[in-house]
Amino acid sequence: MSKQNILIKQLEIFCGTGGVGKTTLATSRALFLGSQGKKVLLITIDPAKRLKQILNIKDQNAGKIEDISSSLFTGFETNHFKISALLMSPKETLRKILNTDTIDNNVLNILTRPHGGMNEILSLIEVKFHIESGKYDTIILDTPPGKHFIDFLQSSRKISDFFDSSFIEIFKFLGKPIISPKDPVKKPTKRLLGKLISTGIKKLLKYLDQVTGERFVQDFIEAVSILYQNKDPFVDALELEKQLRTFEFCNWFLVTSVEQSKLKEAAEFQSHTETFHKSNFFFLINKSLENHIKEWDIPSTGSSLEKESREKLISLKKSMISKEEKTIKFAKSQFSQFIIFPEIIDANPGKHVGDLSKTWKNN
Amino acid sequence: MFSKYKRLYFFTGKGGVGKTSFALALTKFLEKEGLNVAYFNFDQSQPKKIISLLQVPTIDQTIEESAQIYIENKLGSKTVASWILKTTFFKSLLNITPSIGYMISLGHIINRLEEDPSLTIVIDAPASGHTLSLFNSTHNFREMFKVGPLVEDIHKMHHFLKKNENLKVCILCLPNIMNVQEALELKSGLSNLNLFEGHLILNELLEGLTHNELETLPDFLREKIGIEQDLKKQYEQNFAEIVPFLSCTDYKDIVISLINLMRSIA
Repeated sequence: MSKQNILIKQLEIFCGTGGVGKTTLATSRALFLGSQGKKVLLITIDPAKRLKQILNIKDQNAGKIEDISSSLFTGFETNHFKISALLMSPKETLRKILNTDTIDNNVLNILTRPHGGMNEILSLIEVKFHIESGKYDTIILDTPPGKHFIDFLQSSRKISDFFDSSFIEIFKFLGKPIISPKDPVKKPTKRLLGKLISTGIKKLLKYLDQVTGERFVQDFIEAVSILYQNKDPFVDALELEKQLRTFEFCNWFLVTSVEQSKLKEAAEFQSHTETFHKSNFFFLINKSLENHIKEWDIPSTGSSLEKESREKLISLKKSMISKEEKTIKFAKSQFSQFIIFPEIIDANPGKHVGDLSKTWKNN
Repeated sequence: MFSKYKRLYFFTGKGGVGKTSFALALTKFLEKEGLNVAYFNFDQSQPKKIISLLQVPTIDQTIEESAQIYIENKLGSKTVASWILKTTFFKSLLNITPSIGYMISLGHIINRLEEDPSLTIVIDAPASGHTLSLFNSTHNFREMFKVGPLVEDIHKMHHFLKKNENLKVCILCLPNIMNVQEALELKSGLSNLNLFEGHLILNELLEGLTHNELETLPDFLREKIGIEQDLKKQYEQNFAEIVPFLSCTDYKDIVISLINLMRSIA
């Protein structure tokens, strides 16, 4: 790692494939920043909700901010400070957007279930919301694993696609649902292209009707018009994407682990983030056994160890060293800034988070 | 003719637990058993290098292709189907709710199996949470549409998935507590859908060392083995299969070693 310290930013995003310890590292970062007197909010949108195992918070509290005491973590039992944590609940976020306690629409209710598929889009809005609240020095975001991280990166583009001209055409065609009497809609410009799209929409809805039934089409149109009437938060979230690219605003942590060395995926992620600022991009190598393996001496022949046993252990050691070397070699060739986190050999997650936060301190 | 093998296999679990290695190894194993079998990666980024090294038979289908075929069959027109797919409206619908795409892909896979009774497909599935989304999607959309041709198709899919002789879903996990707990959570989440029961496989367990060998190990490794053994004891009744850590430095060798272990998993 380069000598210069990692600057603390307003938003810090952890990404990487699943199971590399992303949530644990994000939590250890939150703990470290908390110990420095920062007000921190940790948001996880990982659908598997592993955060709750580490932080001891429950599913029924999803969508609500919880205060987490530092005393849960090894080494922090006596410094009393709190960090805030939030499990993403798509339904709660949508309620906030619609400013309502209940969502009546069938389609929206189903899509905002925990596994309904709208997590990525809504999490971007949730982040924006907490940044604007001004309550936190730093927001740490634990993104969902794998390909879905790319979904997350692209979600603002998806938002703009969703509210693009063809949608507006739908509403012009449907007319009434979005036109409130107080706010008469402007006369649509009657261009030929616009006309073509709107006849297309008519056909599309007819086909939809044919296969899904009339009831669904009604629910669906209602869902879309509810979203459309409340599109401002979605459109505002587009602003966030611009900020993500600035050095002052954001740190990116791409996490991998020696154990899994998903290097191909790491390279793929990196290629998707190339348009971002290089100097706030860090590669984190988790679960390194390097220091431990160095101390491992296999007794020579003639000692208590049979030849066969010796070969077995040599091959075990070799396979462990090879994993470490491959990962470090990759890190050096691809990233200007990388940090190695040691494997914590302990069954207690509180010990993992506590010990890992020491590595942040040294960087 | 009755086959001792299933028609459709799923490997799921967190990232890095061995889904791809197992799915590739099982495909090779079934091929050696004389089956007409293909590997399919649900997230569409196939590990090309290893596939060509081991010459694994694969299926390539994108969500767009599957959607095109499906809509074409429903509406009886190729032109209309490709027009619908090209509308920004449909594209953004697929983008904003990925679960529609999951369901379309799964439907296409099941169709292939029903059209060709000799075929077996091994699926390298998305990581835990997204596998739940995948199987939840059929329930969600059934509830959304309530009646009509789409709901009938979802019933057909469920009918296929519910048959024990058709399907085996394997949930892989590594020997650490969080990984095992998450796998159990996924198993119960899938079980709640009343379609099938997942099989838990514990992968990369460090064991098989003799007393003498253990004696020479450094502390960290003995501790690691100790933690893993405790975990194994605690959850033993949950694991359908336990697969040892393989000392290989090359990915290809890992997959080849796994092929020989697939008889009991298939």
